[in-house]
Amino acid sequence: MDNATVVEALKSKFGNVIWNVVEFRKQAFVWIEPSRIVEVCQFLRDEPTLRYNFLSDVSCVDRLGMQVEGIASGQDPEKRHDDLRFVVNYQLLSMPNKHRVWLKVGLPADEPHVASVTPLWPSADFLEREVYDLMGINFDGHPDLRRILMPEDWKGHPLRKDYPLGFEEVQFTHNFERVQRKKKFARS
Amino acid sequence: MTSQRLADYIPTPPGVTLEEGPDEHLILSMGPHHPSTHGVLRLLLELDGETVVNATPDIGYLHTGIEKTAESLQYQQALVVTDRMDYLAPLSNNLGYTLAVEKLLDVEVPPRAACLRVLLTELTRINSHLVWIGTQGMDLGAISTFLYALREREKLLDIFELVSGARMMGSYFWIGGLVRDVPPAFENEVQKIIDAFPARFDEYERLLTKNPIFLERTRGIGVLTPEEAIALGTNGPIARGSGVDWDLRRDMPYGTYDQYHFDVPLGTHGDVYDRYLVRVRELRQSLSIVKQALNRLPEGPIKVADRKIVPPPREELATSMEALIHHFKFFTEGIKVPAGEVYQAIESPKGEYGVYIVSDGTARPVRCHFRGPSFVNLQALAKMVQGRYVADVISCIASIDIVLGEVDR
Repeated sequence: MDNATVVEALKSKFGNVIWNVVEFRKQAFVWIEPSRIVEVCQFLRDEPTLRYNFLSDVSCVDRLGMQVEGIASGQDPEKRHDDLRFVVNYQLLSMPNKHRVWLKVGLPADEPHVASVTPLWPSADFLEREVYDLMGINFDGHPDLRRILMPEDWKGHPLRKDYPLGFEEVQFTHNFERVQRKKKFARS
Repeated sequence: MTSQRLADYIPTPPGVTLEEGPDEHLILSMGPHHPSTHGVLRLLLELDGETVVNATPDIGYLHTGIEKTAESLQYQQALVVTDRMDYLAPLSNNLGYTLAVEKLLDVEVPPRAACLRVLLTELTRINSHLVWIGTQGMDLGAISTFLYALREREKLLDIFELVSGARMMGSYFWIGGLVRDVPPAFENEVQKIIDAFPARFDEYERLLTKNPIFLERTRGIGVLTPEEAIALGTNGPIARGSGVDWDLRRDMPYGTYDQYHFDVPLGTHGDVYDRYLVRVRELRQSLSIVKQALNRLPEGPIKVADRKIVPPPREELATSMEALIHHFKFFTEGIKVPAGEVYQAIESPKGEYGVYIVSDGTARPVRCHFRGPSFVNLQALAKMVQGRYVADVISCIASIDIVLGEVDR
Protein backbone atom coordinates (compact mmCIF):
# COMPACT_ATOMS: atom_id res chain seq x y z
CA MET A 1 0.00 0.00 0.00
CA ASP A 2 1.38 3.41 -0.88
CA ASN A 3 0.20 6.99 -0.86
CA ALA A 4 -0.61 7.08 -4.59
CA THR A 5 -3.15 4.25 -4.31
CA VAL A 6 -5.24 5.88 -1.61
CA VAL A 7 -5.03 9.33 -3.19
CA GLU A 8 -6.12 7.87 -6.52
CA ALA A 9 -9.02 6.04 -4.89
CA LEU A 10 -10.15 9.18 -3.10
CA LYS A 11 -9.89 11.34 -6.22
CA SER A 12 -11.84 8.94 -8.41
CA LYS A 13 -14.57 8.57 -5.80
CA PHE A 14 -14.91 12.16 -4.59
CA GLY A 15 -13.37 14.40 -7.28
CA ASN A 16 -13.73 18.02 -6.26
CA VAL A 17 -14.20 17.22 -2.58
CA ILE A 18 -10.47 16.60 -2.47
CA TRP A 19 -9.01 20.11 -2.41
CA ASN A 20 -5.36 19.30 -2.45
CA VAL A 21 -2.84 16.60 -1.61
CA VAL A 22 0.49 17.41 0.01
CA GLU A 23 3.20 14.82 0.40
CA PHE A 24 5.93 15.45 2.93
CA ARG A 25 8.48 12.92 4.22
CA LYS A 26 6.45 10.08 2.66
CA GLN A 27 3.27 11.15 4.45
CA ALA A 28 0.13 11.98 2.48
CA PHE A 29 -1.92 14.91 3.78
CA VAL A 30 -5.26 15.11 1.99
CA TRP A 31 -7.17 18.38 2.26
CA ILE A 32 -10.88 17.80 1.93
CA GLU A 33 -14.11 19.77 1.92
CA PRO A 34 -15.10 20.14 5.60
CA SER A 35 -18.77 19.33 5.05
CA ARG A 36 -17.93 15.90 3.60
CA ILE A 37 -15.58 14.62 6.30
CA VAL A 38 -17.88 11.85 7.57
CA GLU A 39 -18.51 10.55 4.06
CA VAL A 40 -14.81 10.45 3.22
CA CYS A 41 -13.97 8.74 6.50
CA GLN A 42 -16.70 6.18 5.99
CA PHE A 43 -15.42 5.43 2.49
CA LEU A 44 -11.87 4.99 3.75
CA ARG A 45 -13.05 2.76 6.58
CA ASP A 46 -15.43 0.51 4.64
CA GLU A 47 -13.83 0.23 1.20
CA PRO A 48 -12.47 -3.36 1.14
CA THR A 49 -9.21 -2.43 -0.58
CA LEU A 50 -8.40 0.45 1.79
CA ARG A 51 -9.77 -0.50 5.24
CA TYR A 52 -8.55 2.38 7.36
CA ASN A 53 -10.10 0.78 10.40
CA PHE A 54 -8.32 2.68 13.17
CA LEU A 55 -8.70 6.36 13.99
CA SER A 56 -5.46 7.03 15.73
CA ASP A 57 -5.55 10.75 16.35
CA VAL A 58 -7.56 13.95 15.96
CA SER A 59 -5.68 17.19 16.44
CA CYS A 60 -5.97 20.81 15.44
CA VAL A 61 -3.61 23.58 14.40
CA ASP A 62 -4.27 27.29 14.85
CA ARG A 63 -2.63 29.04 11.89
CA LEU A 64 -3.10 32.57 13.22
CA GLY A 65 -0.04 34.66 12.40
CA MET A 66 1.68 31.74 10.75
CA GLN A 67 3.71 32.17 7.59
CA VAL A 68 1.42 30.02 5.47
CA GLU A 69 3.75 29.73 2.50
CA GLY A 70 6.31 28.14 4.78
CA ILE A 71 4.23 25.03 5.27
CA ALA A 72 5.11 21.73 3.67
CA SER A 73 8.65 22.35 2.54
CA GLY A 74 8.11 25.60 0.72
CA GLN A 75 5.00 24.64 -1.19
CA ASP A 76 1.87 26.63 -0.73
CA PRO A 77 -0.71 23.98 0.11
CA GLU A 78 -3.83 26.06 -0.04
CA LYS A 79 -3.58 29.45 -1.66
CA ARG A 80 -7.33 29.68 -1.94
CA HIS A 81 -7.89 28.76 1.72
CA ASP A 82 -5.55 31.20 3.42
CA ASP A 83 -8.44 32.60 5.40
CA LEU A 84 -9.02 29.23 7.05
CA ARG A 85 -7.54 29.69 10.48
CA PHE A 86 -8.06 26.28 12.07
CA VAL A 87 -7.00 23.01 10.52
CA VAL A 88 -8.35 19.79 12.02
CA ASN A 89 -6.28 16.69 11.28
CA TYR A 90 -7.70 13.20 11.27
CA GLN A 91 -5.09 10.54 11.31
CA LEU A 92 -6.29 7.21 9.96
CA LEU A 93 -4.41 3.96 10.24
CA SER A 94 -5.06 0.86 8.18
CA MET A 95 -3.97 -2.12 10.26
CA PRO A 96 -4.43 -4.67 7.43
CA ASN A 97 -2.44 -2.57 4.94
CA LYS A 98 -0.01 -1.01 7.44
CA HIS A 99 -0.50 2.45 6.07
CA ARG A 100 -1.43 5.86 7.44
CA VAL A 101 -3.25 8.73 5.80
CA TRP A 102 -3.99 12.22 7.11
CA LEU A 103 -7.21 14.07 6.36
CA LYS A 104 -7.18 17.82 6.85
CA VAL A 105 -10.14 20.15 7.01
CA GLY A 106 -9.71 23.93 7.14
CA LEU A 107 -12.19 25.88 9.25
CA PRO A 108 -12.82 29.65 9.47
CA ALA A 109 -11.98 31.78 12.51
CA ASP A 110 -15.62 32.51 13.35
CA GLU A 111 -17.57 29.68 14.91
CA PRO A 112 -15.51 26.83 13.53
CA HIS A 113 -17.51 23.64 13.40
CA VAL A 114 -17.32 20.31 11.64
CA ALA A 115 -19.31 17.09 11.78
CA SER A 116 -18.23 14.60 14.42
CA VAL A 117 -16.86 11.22 13.40
CA THR A 118 -17.98 9.53 16.64
CA PRO A 119 -20.67 7.51 14.77
CA LEU A 120 -17.85 5.83 12.82
CA TRP A 121 -15.29 5.46 15.61
CA PRO A 122 -16.31 5.69 19.28
CA SER A 123 -12.64 6.46 19.95
CA ALA A 124 -13.19 9.97 18.53
CA ASP A 125 -15.11 10.81 21.72
CA PHE A 126 -12.18 11.90 23.92
CA LEU A 127 -10.08 13.09 20.99
CA GLU A 128 -12.75 15.50 19.75
CA ARG A 129 -13.54 16.67 23.25
CA GLU A 130 -9.88 17.53 23.68
CA VAL A 131 -9.87 19.57 20.46
CA TYR A 132 -13.08 21.31 21.55
CA ASP A 133 -11.65 22.07 24.97
CA LEU A 134 -8.27 23.39 23.91
CA MET A 135 -9.05 24.86 20.47
CA GLY A 136 -12.76 25.64 20.57
CA ILE A 137 -13.81 23.64 17.52
CA ASN A 138 -17.44 22.51 17.71
CA PHE A 139 -18.10 18.98 16.58
CA ASP A 140 -21.71 18.70 15.40
CA GLY A 141 -23.38 15.51 16.49
CA HIS A 142 -20.88 14.67 19.23
CA PRO A 143 -22.81 12.90 22.02
CA ASP A 144 -21.10 14.62 24.94
CA LEU A 145 -19.19 17.75 23.95
CA ARG A 146 -17.87 19.05 27.28
CA ARG A 147 -14.49 20.28 28.43
CA ILE A 148 -12.21 17.38 29.22
CA LEU A 149 -8.83 18.66 30.44
CA MET A 150 -9.58 22.19 31.62
CA PRO A 151 -12.00 22.90 34.51
CA GLU A 152 -15.70 23.11 33.64
CA ASP A 153 -15.88 26.85 34.22
CA TRP A 154 -12.72 27.80 32.31
CA LYS A 155 -12.96 30.76 29.96
CA GLY A 156 -11.36 30.56 26.53
CA HIS A 157 -9.48 27.87 24.68
CA PRO A 158 -5.82 27.75 25.77
CA LEU A 159 -4.16 26.30 22.66
CA ARG A 160 -5.39 29.13 20.44
CA LYS A 161 -2.58 31.45 19.42
CA ASP A 162 -4.41 34.56 20.68
CA TYR A 163 -4.89 33.11 24.16
CA PRO A 164 -2.90 35.34 26.53
CA LEU A 165 0.27 33.74 27.85
CA GLY A 166 0.55 36.09 30.81
CA PHE A 167 4.12 37.11 30.10
CA GLU A 168 6.16 38.83 27.45
CA GLU A 169 9.29 37.40 25.91
CA VAL A 170 12.45 39.48 25.69
CA GLN A 171 13.14 40.66 22.16
CA PHE A 172 16.51 40.08 20.54
CA THR A 173 17.53 40.74 16.96
CA HIS A 174 17.14 37.10 16.04
CA ASN A 175 13.58 36.76 17.35
CA PHE A 176 12.36 40.34 17.05
CA GLU A 177 9.74 39.69 14.38
CA ARG A 178 8.25 36.64 16.07
CA VAL A 179 7.93 38.29 19.48
CA GLN A 180 6.52 41.43 17.86
CA ARG A 181 3.79 39.38 16.17
CA LYS A 182 2.78 37.78 19.45
CA LYS A 183 3.00 40.95 21.51
CA LYS A 184 -0.66 41.90 21.33
CA PHE A 185 -1.62 38.49 22.72
CA ALA A 186 1.04 38.40 25.42
CA ARG A 187 -0.97 39.68 28.39
CA SER A 188 -4.60 39.28 29.32
CA MET B 1 -25.21 16.08 50.90
CA THR B 2 -28.56 16.65 49.23
CA SER B 3 -28.85 16.03 45.53
CA GLN B 4 -29.44 19.75 45.04
CA ARG B 5 -26.01 20.58 46.44
CA LEU B 6 -24.40 17.59 44.78
CA ALA B 7 -25.53 18.95 41.44
CA ASP B 8 -23.56 22.11 42.08
CA TYR B 9 -20.36 20.18 42.44
CA ILE B 10 -20.60 17.28 40.04
CA PRO B 11 -20.90 17.87 36.32
CA THR B 12 -23.45 15.28 35.36
CA PRO B 13 -22.92 13.17 32.28
CA PRO B 14 -25.71 13.35 29.70
CA GLY B 15 -28.63 11.05 30.32
CA VAL B 16 -27.95 10.94 34.05
CA THR B 17 -30.19 12.78 36.48
CA LEU B 18 -29.37 13.27 40.10
CA GLU B 19 -33.04 13.15 41.06
CA GLU B 20 -34.13 9.88 42.55
CA GLY B 21 -35.93 8.04 39.80
CA PRO B 22 -37.94 4.84 39.82
CA ASP B 23 -34.78 2.79 39.22
CA GLU B 24 -32.95 4.62 42.00
CA HIS B 25 -29.45 4.66 40.57
CA LEU B 26 -26.75 5.94 42.85
CA ILE B 27 -24.03 8.24 41.55
CA LEU B 28 -20.81 7.46 43.35
CA SER B 29 -17.77 9.66 42.93
CA MET B 30 -14.71 7.44 43.00
CA GLY B 31 -11.45 9.32 43.31
CA PRO B 32 -9.58 11.55 42.60
CA HIS B 33 -7.55 10.41 45.61
CA HIS B 34 -8.59 6.78 45.62
CA PRO B 35 -5.44 4.61 45.86
CA SER B 36 -6.44 2.32 43.02
CA THR B 37 -6.91 5.11 40.50
CA HIS B 38 -3.12 5.32 40.08
CA GLY B 39 -2.96 9.05 40.43
CA VAL B 40 -5.75 11.56 40.19
CA LEU B 41 -8.43 9.95 38.10
CA ARG B 42 -12.00 10.58 39.16
CA LEU B 43 -14.76 8.24 38.10
CA LEU B 44 -18.45 8.95 38.25
CA LEU B 45 -19.95 5.53 38.80
CA GLU B 46 -23.64 5.08 38.21
CA LEU B 47 -24.65 2.16 40.40
CA ASP B 48 -27.67 -0.06 40.59
CA GLY B 49 -27.08 -1.77 43.90
CA GLU B 50 -23.55 -3.02 43.53
CA THR B 51 -23.71 -3.30 39.75
CA VAL B 52 -22.08 -0.61 37.64
CA VAL B 53 -24.48 0.83 35.06
CA ASN B 54 -22.03 3.34 33.65
CA ALA B 55 -18.68 4.88 34.45
CA THR B 56 -17.66 8.35 33.30
CA PRO B 57 -14.02 9.31 33.74
CA ASP B 58 -13.40 12.88 34.88
CA ILE B 59 -9.81 13.80 34.05
CA GLY B 60 -7.65 16.89 33.87
CA TYR B 61 -6.41 17.12 37.46
CA LEU B 62 -2.81 16.80 36.28
CA HIS B 63 -3.17 18.99 33.18
CA THR B 64 0.02 21.00 32.89
CA GLY B 65 -0.34 22.30 29.35
CA ILE B 66 2.68 20.51 27.93
CA GLU B 67 1.52 21.12 24.35
CA LYS B 68 1.21 24.85 24.99
CA THR B 69 4.53 24.95 26.83
CA ALA B 70 6.28 23.27 23.91
CA GLU B 71 5.13 26.05 21.59
CA SER B 72 7.24 28.63 23.41
CA LEU B 73 10.31 26.42 23.77
CA GLN B 74 12.99 25.60 21.25
CA TYR B 75 13.04 22.06 19.89
CA GLN B 76 15.86 20.86 22.10
CA GLN B 77 14.24 22.48 25.15
CA ALA B 78 10.81 20.98 24.51
CA LEU B 79 12.40 17.54 24.65
CA VAL B 80 12.76 17.91 28.40
CA VAL B 81 9.04 18.37 29.06
CA THR B 82 8.19 15.17 27.18
CA ASP B 83 9.71 13.09 30.02
CA ARG B 84 6.99 14.35 32.33
CA MET B 85 4.10 12.85 30.42
CA ASP B 86 4.43 9.12 30.94
CA TYR B 87 6.74 9.29 33.93
CA LEU B 88 7.08 5.53 34.08
CA ALA B 89 8.54 5.43 30.57
CA PRO B 90 10.34 8.74 30.06
CA LEU B 91 12.73 7.38 27.46
CA SER B 92 9.84 6.18 25.27
CA ASN B 93 8.51 9.73 25.24
CA ASN B 94 11.97 11.04 24.39
CA LEU B 95 12.25 8.54 21.57
CA GLY B 96 8.93 9.53 19.98
CA TYR B 97 9.78 13.21 20.13
CA THR B 98 13.35 12.93 18.88
CA LEU B 99 12.29 10.64 16.02
CA ALA B 100 9.64 13.17 15.00
CA VAL B 101 12.10 16.07 14.96
CA GLU B 102 14.67 13.93 13.15
CA LYS B 103 12.04 13.10 10.55
CA LEU B 104 11.50 16.84 10.04
CA LEU B 105 15.24 17.42 9.82
CA ASP B 106 15.64 14.32 7.66
CA VAL B 107 18.64 12.97 9.55
CA GLU B 108 19.51 9.48 10.72
CA VAL B 109 21.32 8.81 13.96
CA PRO B 110 24.59 6.79 13.92
CA PRO B 111 24.32 3.00 14.44
CA ARG B 112 25.65 3.06 17.99
CA ALA B 113 23.07 5.63 19.06
CA ALA B 114 20.28 3.71 17.30
CA CYS B 115 21.29 0.49 19.03
CA LEU B 116 21.52 2.12 22.46
CA ARG B 117 18.12 3.72 21.91
CA VAL B 118 16.55 0.31 21.26
CA LEU B 119 18.30 -1.15 24.30
CA LEU B 120 17.24 1.62 26.63
CA THR B 121 13.65 1.88 25.42
CA GLU B 122 13.24 -1.84 25.97
CA LEU B 123 14.62 -1.45 29.50
CA THR B 124 12.09 1.35 29.90
CA ARG B 125 9.34 -1.00 28.76
CA ILE B 126 10.41 -3.52 31.39
CA ASN B 127 10.47 -0.72 33.95
CA SER B 128 6.93 0.36 33.08
CA HIS B 129 5.58 -3.20 33.02
CA LEU B 130 7.21 -3.94 36.38
CA VAL B 131 5.38 -1.05 38.00
CA TRP B 132 2.21 -2.24 36.32
CA ILE B 133 2.62 -5.84 37.50
CA GLY B 134 3.19 -4.56 41.01
CA THR B 135 0.21 -2.24 41.09
CA GLN B 136 -2.13 -4.71 39.41
CA GLY B 137 -1.21 -7.23 42.10
CA MET B 138 -1.46 -4.69 44.89
CA ASP B 139 -4.88 -3.46 43.81
CA LEU B 140 -6.12 -7.04 44.01
CA GLY B 141 -4.52 -7.68 47.38
CA ALA B 142 -1.18 -9.25 46.45
CA ILE B 143 1.09 -6.70 48.07
CA SER B 144 4.21 -8.87 48.00
CA THR B 145 4.32 -8.69 44.17
CA PHE B 146 4.57 -4.93 44.39
CA LEU B 147 7.55 -5.09 46.73
CA TYR B 148 9.37 -7.59 44.52
CA ALA B 149 8.63 -5.67 41.31
CA LEU B 150 9.91 -2.40 42.74
CA ARG B 151 13.04 -4.16 43.95
CA GLU B 152 13.81 -5.09 40.34
CA ARG B 153 12.83 -1.65 39.12
CA GLU B 154 15.53 -0.16 41.34
CA LYS B 155 18.11 -2.06 39.30
CA LEU B 156 16.76 -0.50 36.12
CA LEU B 157 16.69 2.98 37.63
CA ASP B 158 20.33 2.46 38.56
CA ILE B 159 21.09 1.87 34.87
CA PHE B 160 19.25 5.06 33.87
CA GLU B 161 21.17 6.93 36.56
CA LEU B 162 24.41 5.47 35.26
CA VAL B 163 23.84 6.70 31.71
CA SER B 164 22.04 10.01 32.24
CA GLY B 165 22.61 11.03 35.84
CA ALA B 166 18.90 11.02 36.66
CA ARG B 167 16.84 8.08 37.83
CA MET B 168 13.64 8.99 36.05
CA MET B 169 13.66 12.19 34.02
CA GLY B 170 16.90 11.56 32.19
CA SER B 171 16.16 13.22 28.81
CA TYR B 172 18.95 10.97 27.61
CA PHE B 173 17.92 10.85 23.94
CA TRP B 174 18.70 14.04 22.15
CA ILE B 175 17.82 15.25 18.71
CA GLY B 176 20.49 13.70 16.50
CA GLY B 177 21.65 11.00 18.89
CA LEU B 178 22.30 10.72 22.61
CA VAL B 179 23.40 13.29 25.16
CA ARG B 180 26.67 11.47 25.88
CA ASP B 181 28.15 8.04 25.44
CA VAL B 182 27.44 5.34 27.99
CA PRO B 183 30.09 4.82 30.70
CA PRO B 184 32.41 1.76 30.50
CA ALA B 185 30.52 -0.01 33.30
CA PHE B 186 27.29 0.04 31.30
CA GLU B 187 27.62 -3.24 29.39
CA ASN B 188 28.51 -5.14 32.54
CA GLU B 189 25.52 -3.74 34.43
CA VAL B 190 23.10 -4.58 31.61
CA GLN B 191 24.55 -8.09 31.43
CA LYS B 192 23.80 -8.52 35.13
CA ILE B 193 20.18 -7.62 34.47
CA ILE B 194 19.94 -10.02 31.54
CA ASP B 195 21.28 -12.80 33.76
CA ALA B 196 19.18 -12.06 36.81
CA PHE B 197 15.78 -11.07 35.47
CA PRO B 198 14.38 -14.28 33.91
CA ALA B 199 14.41 -15.94 37.33
CA ARG B 200 12.70 -12.91 38.82
CA PHE B 201 9.97 -13.00 36.16
CA ASP B 202 9.40 -16.66 37.09
CA GLU B 203 9.03 -15.51 40.67
CA TYR B 204 6.22 -13.08 39.81
CA GLU B 205 4.50 -15.72 37.76
CA ARG B 206 4.65 -18.11 40.71
CA LEU B 207 2.99 -15.44 42.82
CA LEU B 208 0.22 -14.52 40.39
CA THR B 209 -0.31 -16.66 37.30
CA LYS B 210 -1.93 -19.59 39.07
CA ASN B 211 -2.96 -17.81 42.23
CA PRO B 212 -6.67 -18.75 42.70
CA ILE B 213 -7.62 -15.37 44.19
CA PHE B 214 -5.90 -13.52 41.35
CA LEU B 215 -7.58 -15.77 38.77
CA GLU B 216 -10.96 -15.19 40.39
CA ARG B 217 -10.50 -11.43 40.23
CA THR B 218 -9.20 -11.26 36.66
CA ARG B 219 -10.59 -14.04 34.48
CA GLY B 220 -13.65 -13.11 32.41
CA ILE B 221 -13.54 -9.54 33.74
CA GLY B 222 -13.38 -6.40 31.62
CA VAL B 223 -13.82 -8.30 28.37
CA LEU B 224 -13.19 -6.45 25.10
CA THR B 225 -13.72 -8.14 21.75
CA PRO B 226 -11.16 -7.34 19.02
CA GLU B 227 -13.74 -5.25 17.15
CA GLU B 228 -14.53 -3.23 20.27
CA ALA B 229 -10.83 -2.81 21.02
CA ILE B 230 -10.23 -1.27 17.58
CA ALA B 231 -13.37 0.85 17.58
CA LEU B 232 -12.55 2.26 21.02
CA GLY B 233 -9.08 3.17 19.84
CA THR B 234 -7.24 0.97 22.31
CA ASN B 235 -3.75 0.00 21.41
CA GLY B 236 -0.77 -1.79 22.86
CA PRO B 237 -1.15 -4.59 25.42
CA ILE B 238 -4.90 -4.00 25.83
CA ALA B 239 -5.65 -4.55 22.15
CA ARG B 240 -3.19 -7.44 22.02
CA GLY B 241 -4.89 -8.99 25.02
CA SER B 242 -8.05 -9.00 22.91
CA GLY B 243 -6.21 -10.71 20.07
CA VAL B 244 -5.56 -7.70 17.81
CA ASP B 245 -2.30 -8.68 16.15
CA TRP B 246 -0.68 -5.26 16.01
CA ASP B 247 2.66 -4.02 17.25
CA LEU B 248 4.22 -0.93 15.73
CA ARG B 249 7.70 -2.25 16.40
CA ARG B 250 7.03 -5.14 14.05
CA ASP B 251 4.38 -3.80 11.66
CA MET B 252 5.59 -0.25 11.01
CA PRO B 253 9.16 -0.37 12.31
CA TYR B 254 10.85 2.82 13.41
CA GLY B 255 14.47 3.24 14.40
CA THR B 256 16.24 -0.07 13.81
CA TYR B 257 13.55 -2.36 15.19
CA ASP B 258 13.34 -4.22 11.87
CA GLN B 259 16.72 -5.82 12.67
CA TYR B 260 15.58 -7.50 15.89
CA HIS B 261 13.73 -10.75 16.37
CA PHE B 262 10.86 -10.91 18.83
CA ASP B 263 7.40 -12.38 19.16
CA VAL B 264 4.25 -10.37 19.68
CA PRO B 265 2.28 -12.15 22.41
CA LEU B 266 -1.47 -12.23 21.94
CA GLY B 267 -4.41 -12.98 24.20
CA THR B 268 -7.57 -14.82 23.24
CA HIS B 269 -10.32 -13.80 25.65
CA GLY B 270 -9.66 -10.07 25.96
CA ASP B 271 -10.12 -10.07 29.72
CA VAL B 272 -7.92 -8.67 32.48
CA TYR B 273 -6.10 -11.97 32.86
CA ASP B 274 -5.12 -12.06 29.17
CA ARG B 275 -3.76 -8.54 29.40
CA TYR B 276 -1.71 -9.72 32.37
CA LEU B 277 -0.35 -12.66 30.38
CA VAL B 278 0.47 -10.44 27.39
CA ARG B 279 2.46 -8.05 29.55
CA VAL B 280 4.31 -10.80 31.38
CA ARG B 281 5.33 -12.33 28.06
CA GLU B 282 6.32 -8.91 26.76
CA LEU B 283 8.72 -8.61 29.69
CA ARG B 284 10.59 -11.66 28.41
CA GLN B 285 10.48 -10.48 24.79
CA SER B 286 11.87 -7.07 25.79
CA LEU B 287 14.66 -8.74 27.68
CA SER B 288 15.49 -10.77 24.58
CA ILE B 289 15.68 -7.55 22.52
CA VAL B 290 17.97 -6.03 25.15
CA LYS B 291 20.18 -9.08 24.87
CA GLN B 292 20.34 -8.85 21.06
CA ALA B 293 21.12 -5.13 21.24
CA LEU B 294 23.88 -5.62 23.77
CA ASN B 295 25.48 -8.37 21.68
CA ARG B 296 25.60 -6.24 18.54
CA LEU B 297 26.41 -2.89 20.16
CA PRO B 298 28.68 -1.23 17.57
CA GLU B 299 31.46 1.24 18.26
CA GLY B 300 31.35 4.71 16.80
CA PRO B 301 29.92 8.19 17.30
CA ILE B 302 26.71 8.70 19.28
CA LYS B 303 25.66 11.96 17.62
CA VAL B 304 25.31 13.12 14.05
CA ALA B 305 28.19 15.26 12.82
CA ASP B 306 26.04 18.23 11.81
CA ARG B 307 26.92 21.11 14.15
CA LYS B 308 23.63 22.86 13.36
CA ILE B 309 21.78 20.01 15.05
CA VAL B 310 24.03 18.95 17.93
CA PRO B 311 26.37 21.19 19.92
CA PRO B 312 30.14 20.60 19.54
CA PRO B 313 31.95 18.60 22.24
CA ARG B 314 33.00 20.64 25.24
CA GLU B 315 36.74 20.11 24.76
CA GLU B 316 36.66 21.66 21.27
CA LEU B 317 35.46 25.00 22.61
CA ALA B 318 38.88 25.91 24.02
CA THR B 319 40.68 25.46 20.71
CA SER B 320 38.22 26.08 17.89
CA MET B 321 36.53 29.39 17.10
CA GLU B 322 34.07 27.60 14.82
CA ALA B 323 33.03 25.32 17.66
CA LEU B 324 32.52 28.27 19.98
CA ILE B 325 30.26 29.99 17.46
CA HIS B 326 28.26 26.82 16.86
CA HIS B 327 27.92 26.27 20.59
CA PHE B 328 26.67 29.82 21.13
CA LYS B 329 24.28 29.69 18.19
CA PHE B 330 22.91 26.32 19.22
CA PHE B 331 22.01 27.38 22.73
CA THR B 332 20.66 30.83 21.86
CA GLU B 333 18.94 30.40 18.53
CA GLY B 334 18.31 26.67 18.62
CA ILE B 335 17.90 24.27 15.72
CA LYS B 336 16.44 25.59 12.49
CA VAL B 337 13.97 22.92 11.45
CA PRO B 338 12.58 22.84 7.90
CA ALA B 339 8.95 23.88 7.51
CA GLY B 340 6.49 21.05 7.35
CA GLU B 341 4.54 18.68 9.51
CA VAL B 342 5.23 15.16 10.69
CA TYR B 343 3.57 12.51 12.77
CA GLN B 344 5.76 9.90 14.36
CA ALA B 345 4.28 7.00 16.28
CA ILE B 346 6.16 4.58 18.47
CA GLU B 347 5.07 1.58 20.50
CA SER B 348 5.35 2.83 24.05
CA PRO B 349 4.69 0.39 26.92
CA LYS B 350 1.05 1.53 26.91
CA GLY B 351 0.38 1.58 23.19
CA GLU B 352 0.79 3.98 20.30
CA TYR B 353 2.50 7.13 21.50
CA GLY B 354 2.35 9.67 18.69
CA VAL B 355 4.01 13.04 18.25
CA TYR B 356 2.62 15.49 15.73
CA ILE B 357 4.77 18.54 15.06
CA VAL B 358 4.04 21.47 12.77
CA SER B 359 7.04 23.61 11.96
CA ASP B 360 7.18 26.93 10.14
CA GLY B 361 10.94 26.88 9.60
CA THR B 362 11.92 28.58 12.86
CA ALA B 363 13.52 27.12 15.97
CA ARG B 364 10.22 26.65 17.83
CA PRO B 365 7.34 24.37 16.89
CA VAL B 366 4.09 26.03 15.81
CA ARG B 367 2.15 23.12 17.20
CA CYS B 368 3.27 20.11 19.11
CA HIS B 369 0.60 17.53 19.77
CA PHE B 370 1.05 14.33 21.73
CA ARG B 371 -1.21 11.36 21.32
CA GLY B 372 -1.00 9.70 24.70
CA PRO B 373 -1.93 6.03 24.63
CA SER B 374 -3.31 6.15 28.19
CA PHE B 375 -5.65 8.98 27.24
CA VAL B 376 -7.23 7.05 24.38
CA ASN B 377 -7.19 3.70 26.18
CA LEU B 378 -9.10 5.18 29.10
CA GLN B 379 -12.18 5.40 26.87
CA ALA B 380 -12.48 1.64 26.96
CA LEU B 381 -13.07 1.66 30.72
CA ALA B 382 -16.83 2.31 30.52
CA LYS B 383 -17.25 -0.60 28.13
CA MET B 384 -15.22 -2.90 30.39
CA VAL B 385 -17.08 -2.23 33.63
CA GLN B 386 -20.69 -1.95 32.48
CA GLY B 387 -22.75 -4.63 34.20
CA ARG B 388 -19.94 -5.68 36.54
CA TYR B 389 -19.46 -5.20 40.27
CA VAL B 390 -17.74 -2.20 41.82
CA ALA B 391 -14.81 -4.39 42.89
CA ASP B 392 -14.15 -5.24 39.23
CA VAL B 393 -13.72 -1.55 38.42
CA ILE B 394 -10.45 -1.65 40.39
CA SER B 395 -9.23 -4.61 38.40
CA CYS B 396 -10.16 -2.97 35.09
CA ILE B 397 -8.48 0.37 35.86
CA ALA B 398 -5.31 -1.45 36.81
CA SER B 399 -5.41 -3.51 33.62
CA ILE B 400 -5.55 -0.39 31.41
CA ASP B 401 -2.27 0.72 32.97
CA ILE B 402 -3.02 4.42 32.87
CA VAL B 403 -0.48 7.03 33.82
CA LEU B 404 -2.34 10.19 34.62
CA GLY B 405 0.58 12.40 33.68
CA GLU B 406 0.06 11.20 30.13
CA VAL B 407 -3.74 11.24 30.21
CA ASP B 408 -3.83 14.90 31.22
CA ARG B 409 -0.56 16.11 29.71
